[in-house]
Amino acid sequence: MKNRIQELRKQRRLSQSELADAVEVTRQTIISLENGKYNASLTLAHKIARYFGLMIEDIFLFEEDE
Amino acid sequence: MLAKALSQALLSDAEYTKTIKNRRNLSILGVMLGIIVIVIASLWKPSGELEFASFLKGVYMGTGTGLVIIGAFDVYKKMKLLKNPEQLKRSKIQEKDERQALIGMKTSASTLMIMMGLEYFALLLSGMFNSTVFFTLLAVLVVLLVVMIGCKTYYSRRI
Repeated sequence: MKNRIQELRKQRRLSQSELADAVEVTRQTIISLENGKYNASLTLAHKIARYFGLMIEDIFLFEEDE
Repeated sequence: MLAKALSQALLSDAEYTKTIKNRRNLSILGVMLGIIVIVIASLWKPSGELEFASFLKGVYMGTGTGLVIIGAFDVYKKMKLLKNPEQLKRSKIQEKDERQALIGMKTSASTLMIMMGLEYFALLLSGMFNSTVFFTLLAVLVVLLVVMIGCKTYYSRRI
């Protein structure tokens, strides 16, 4: 699943470590999320969305074929 | 690893501190158990009929020593962690990270499948040479399958 995490993080001039600490995951998880290698759970997606002040659908781009 | 992965419930800082203290206490018990094993192994005088008695004694001594060393190191690590709130927070994040939990579960599942395959292969091979080894491997494989089916049934109902 594609997402806009990297785009939003860079807009706010955040490092991967800072974002990881804010949503209580490891930096490796943020890296995997940004690379699209890992799909966040609903809980984590909600935390990330709440942190950025956006809806989940605005960050995680669900494609019908998945 | 699997135990940590299974305990994925969100813990508060206080609950996590309590968990670390419990693990420290378990490690202390491990050290004490290791000492007991070393003492028993030292005092044990195996009968001459036991084929590889001195080798077994060495295994027990090694197990006891391992328990003491690893237990002591773990106690030191946990006590250091409890004194440092920042390190404790990092440890909690590392442990509760969902991606790490998924990696742990996939590792355990893959290891189980590979080991069962290797064990079955060893079972077939051993049958040509030694019946004791054959039946031991067969018993272990059967118990493994029963436990696997039991766990699947349990989690199918629970989740």
